[in-house]
Amino acid sequence: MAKRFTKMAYSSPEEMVFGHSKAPISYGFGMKVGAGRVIPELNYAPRPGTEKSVDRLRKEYVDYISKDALDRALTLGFPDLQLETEWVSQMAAPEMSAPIVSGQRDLVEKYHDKYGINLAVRHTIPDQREAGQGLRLGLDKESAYPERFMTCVDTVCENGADVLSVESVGGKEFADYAVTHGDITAFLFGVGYLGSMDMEYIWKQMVSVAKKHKVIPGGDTNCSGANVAMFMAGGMMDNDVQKTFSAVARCISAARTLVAPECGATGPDKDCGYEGVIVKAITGLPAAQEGKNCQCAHADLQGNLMAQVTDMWSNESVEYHPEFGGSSIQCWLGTLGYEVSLMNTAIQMGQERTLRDLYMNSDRTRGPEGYVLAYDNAWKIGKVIAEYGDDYYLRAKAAGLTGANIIMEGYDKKELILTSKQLLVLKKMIKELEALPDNEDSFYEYCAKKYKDEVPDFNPKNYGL
Amino acid sequence: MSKTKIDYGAILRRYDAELENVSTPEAIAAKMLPSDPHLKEVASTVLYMKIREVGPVVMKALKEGVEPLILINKGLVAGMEIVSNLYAQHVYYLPEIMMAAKTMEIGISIAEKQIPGGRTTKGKVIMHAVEGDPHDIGKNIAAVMMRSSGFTVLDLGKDVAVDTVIATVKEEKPFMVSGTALMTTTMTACAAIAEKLKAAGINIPVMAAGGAVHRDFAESFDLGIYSEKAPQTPPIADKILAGYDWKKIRENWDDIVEGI
Amino acid sequence: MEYGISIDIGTSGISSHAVDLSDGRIISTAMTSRNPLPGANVMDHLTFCIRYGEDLAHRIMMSAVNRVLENLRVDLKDVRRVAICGNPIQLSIFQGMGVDDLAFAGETAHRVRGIKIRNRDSAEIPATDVGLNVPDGTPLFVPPAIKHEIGADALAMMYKSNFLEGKGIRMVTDYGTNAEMALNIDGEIYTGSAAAGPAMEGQSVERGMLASPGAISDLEYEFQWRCMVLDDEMIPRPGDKIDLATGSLIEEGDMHGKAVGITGTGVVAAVAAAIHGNMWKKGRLTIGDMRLQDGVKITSNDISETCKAIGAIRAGHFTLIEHAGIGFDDMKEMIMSGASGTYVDAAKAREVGMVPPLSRNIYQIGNTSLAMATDIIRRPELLDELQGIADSIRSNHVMFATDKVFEEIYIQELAYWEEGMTLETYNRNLSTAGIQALPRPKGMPNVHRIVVRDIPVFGDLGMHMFEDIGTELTAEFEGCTLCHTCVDECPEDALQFRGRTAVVRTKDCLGTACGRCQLKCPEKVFKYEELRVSDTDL
Repeated sequence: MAKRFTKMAYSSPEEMVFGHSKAPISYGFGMKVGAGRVIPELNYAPRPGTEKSVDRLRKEYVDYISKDALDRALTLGFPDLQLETEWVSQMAAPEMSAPIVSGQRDLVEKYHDKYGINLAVRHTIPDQREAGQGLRLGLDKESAYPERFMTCVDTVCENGADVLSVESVGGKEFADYAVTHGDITAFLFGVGYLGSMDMEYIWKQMVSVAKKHKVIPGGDTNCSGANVAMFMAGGMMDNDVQKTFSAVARCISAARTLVAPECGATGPDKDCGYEGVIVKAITGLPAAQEGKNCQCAHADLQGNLMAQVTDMWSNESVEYHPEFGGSSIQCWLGTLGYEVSLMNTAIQMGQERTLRDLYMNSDRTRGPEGYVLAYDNAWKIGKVIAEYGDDYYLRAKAAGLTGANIIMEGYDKKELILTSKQLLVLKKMIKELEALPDNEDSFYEYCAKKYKDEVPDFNPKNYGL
Repeated sequence: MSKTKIDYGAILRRYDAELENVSTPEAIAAKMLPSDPHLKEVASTVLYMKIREVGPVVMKALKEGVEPLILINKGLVAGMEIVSNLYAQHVYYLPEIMMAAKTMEIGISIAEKQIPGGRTTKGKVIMHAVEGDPHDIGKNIAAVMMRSSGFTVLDLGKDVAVDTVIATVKEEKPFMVSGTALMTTTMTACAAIAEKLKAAGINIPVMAAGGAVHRDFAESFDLGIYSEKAPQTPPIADKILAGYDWKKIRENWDDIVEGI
Repeated sequence: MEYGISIDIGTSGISSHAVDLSDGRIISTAMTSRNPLPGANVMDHLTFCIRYGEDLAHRIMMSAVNRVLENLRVDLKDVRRVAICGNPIQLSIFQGMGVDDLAFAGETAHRVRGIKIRNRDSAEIPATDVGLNVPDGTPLFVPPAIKHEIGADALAMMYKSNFLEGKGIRMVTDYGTNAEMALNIDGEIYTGSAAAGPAMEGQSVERGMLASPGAISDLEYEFQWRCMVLDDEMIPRPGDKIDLATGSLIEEGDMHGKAVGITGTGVVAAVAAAIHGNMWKKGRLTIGDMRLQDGVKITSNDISETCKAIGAIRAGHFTLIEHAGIGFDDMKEMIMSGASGTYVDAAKAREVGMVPPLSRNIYQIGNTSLAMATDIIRRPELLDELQGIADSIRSNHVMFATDKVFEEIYIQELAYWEEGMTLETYNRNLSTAGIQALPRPKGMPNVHRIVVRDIPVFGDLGMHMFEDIGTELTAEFEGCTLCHTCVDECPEDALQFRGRTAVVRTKDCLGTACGRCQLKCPEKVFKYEELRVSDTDL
């Protein structure tokens, strides 16, 4: 069994602030994360069509995207930059990805040597596994996706990456169902329970390969669950999924994303895991986050708030294309780097807690998603996860229920406004979560039976059950 | 402001100002290359280590009327000075300085033939790897650095008998002789050379250098002086030319080689 | 019971087995961690021979060897055979044979001094002739050198591995102060010997020490670096986890507070960590000193000394590969022998350049000299066989000192390690010289630890390690004021005074490479060559 976090790294929420973590980590070419300075992390996507040949795609990533980014970082005087290559699915073939990994490494080495700029590259591999075909090695006879997943891990580690990450999809068959049906129990079962077991399975292997090749195992995100809920819940005018639902789903996902550090991941974790605030409160590891400067990828209601305790600030992803001010990645790096420089100025002037609270308060009451992630509330949710730290099911349930109660309290004391539909869904979730069994076995039995026909792709073997 | 001391470099950096202090071959060349087109071309062959082109370029310049002595000093040696400058600033590395020096020497050997009575340099030194020692990489590097600094080097090679060194000193009258040893068994040859020179009344400094030799040993016999690494040899030689004897070199050794 | 005794004399120690002749089993083992002669490397030992006489060196050596034999704890009256192995210098001193042909290289020196190259073929001579305390008539078996420059120790590393077997391309290196190396290409053998220096044995490193309790012997990657510290049983156990870039302690380990120094393998790990963390730039550490646990640190100078050793070895390997006309991608099998070659983390060794970068399989095989001497004890007729092998090896010896390819590569190595030249420039320069490029290490090698330690079997009576070897050299110097400057100057605490008599313990003394006692004497009366052996049984 992996290590479990049962104690909080931060003894109070007030202790948490951007640019500082309890376990700073150094790697790459002068990169020091969580050591008193926020680092910009730039993520990008190649133009469609460039993935058709090995050489073209390498050129796109290395000669165009990476070089553009490094040149702009110098132009604007940014002291640090982490590049993040989120692999397109074609890169699952090593002959496609290996030249990109080594090409980016050689390029950042050259820039570091020549200009002294601190650099590193994170590679985030695709998780193409399908629940219907099999999530574990040997199960997927059709496409061998689990095997291909591990090949990607090897390719990253053998070709000179600095950080290895993934957006893993364990439990997605339930998350999809849960979000579309507004079923919080299905989300708890799929993401909180099964997803945790899947993460333990893949992260143990990933950490071991990373260790062998001296690569930093960054972390994971519940992009495929909590972010899907958040995107569908959308903005002020959207109503398909209630934001009370997506907020509680986010709390549950924290209990799952925590499994990566429990298996040995060291952070910085994945930017798009908004639950990273809660994970940082528990583990003290450096957190990569995104918000206001990722409008190129998506809009959400906590763009400022998400900067409150970040150690690495990201733009999520931008496709490579020309803009008036340069290529798109150069423009977005500009907004990213300037925001980071503001945070670092605050640190230099001893004003970081003031800026943190400015960020946080601007979004605190704009919706339940931001409300549960405000660092004081996030810390409380982290605390119950740690209390039930030894039990995947109980800690995920406690996270969801605590999150829901925090929203309810906020509503009751008139800090947070909810629409009537949001309130209705919230009350239903609290009732539902409270009624769930108090032990793992009964919960499993209950869910296995309940979702037998609703979620046909569910296969216990995927989770070693 | 609640904090007065701000580390602005931790927020954003001045790469422009930082880069001003970093040299490139082109930037330094622009400042230091001679303006005369012939000399510029000659110096460039050394600067860019064009070992195959230096011969034809030097011959062309001579044919078109450039004085051989000027060609050497203002062309080839000027090129080498730029190289030394780049080396000191970590732009060029050891292999490049070796290659540039080879290029310069090819050029000098061609031009020299056209100077009646030969060329004069800062002064002449004799260098060798001592009797019984075949390891001469260190000596070769030091010899290149000496030549690049404008000295004439008479390189006797490796495993050179003590008596051969003495005989050559008597004939060539250098202002310094250096012996390198990588084997502790052989380094005593330096002391033997010093003793024989002293007996013959020749009081030139005997530099002991090389992996086996340490300062205490080099200074344990009369005439003996030390060089820890190749780049230290030219500044020490300069001081000898400036009138320092072996005792004064020893007294001021730390100052002479400081930072090298 | 009748015994045979096998002995390996190394530059930094002597080891020996007693063997039961009835069944060939090893009964016991004895070893010292020092060579009895003053000095830290073969050059120092040669210098000692030249200055103070080969006979004195021989007597000091035999006194130590006889003490090793006593520590085998068998009745020496029952010894029937002795076999020896080691590098040509130690073997020549042991046999009382001259070493001047090894002490001076180059024809000039040989001609001036009238030196003749000596015959180092295999030999069977009476053991008592060299001064061994064994019964009269006991034969001593001496294995052959392959050629003048390639000794019996090199033959041992080839014979005791699969180096000579079958077709294919493989390389073997005995990692010591002098790295003996050989490359086999379908039976065509290229040999060389690189002067690596003592850094890889943990010497000439500020906090360097031999493997003993409290030594940091490795750094393990746990996303930060974990010090591995030898415990009282000499087992490496987890010490503190350190963020090397900031020098901060991440987590205390079981061995917290117990580190006192670092071994050669630990220094190699530190180099690997510095390179991996991109902390080695322009010949110095970008982080200042590399702080490990309990105040043990690695300085830029330590890394530099080690890198020069690594550079010499890599240039040696590269030169052999060039002379053999093969590419790095052909060189996939590597054999590492010697204590350093056995204990070092082979994957890290490949990362830093001690092993060719594309080696797929690496075999770590231990002390082959002692193993071969033990084979001879079991089967004396092996001696003829070994002479046959030595004669049949079509060896092309490359004298690195005079080799132009080596010089070209070694200059790149110096610039790479000392001046921070990039690998790209390194390869561009080599390409101008018509030499192939040095690739980066790729993938992970399969490491085969054939032995658990450099001497795999100790025997039923176990291993006896002892230190009281060597001899005292003494003298009274006229004019000595007893100021004790020499005692204070001695870096190894090898010198003391008994009344007016200066006493030097030879095993600790660094010899002529140091000579500080004499050089620093304010009265100029300390004369090392006036020291005399005090031990009456010599």
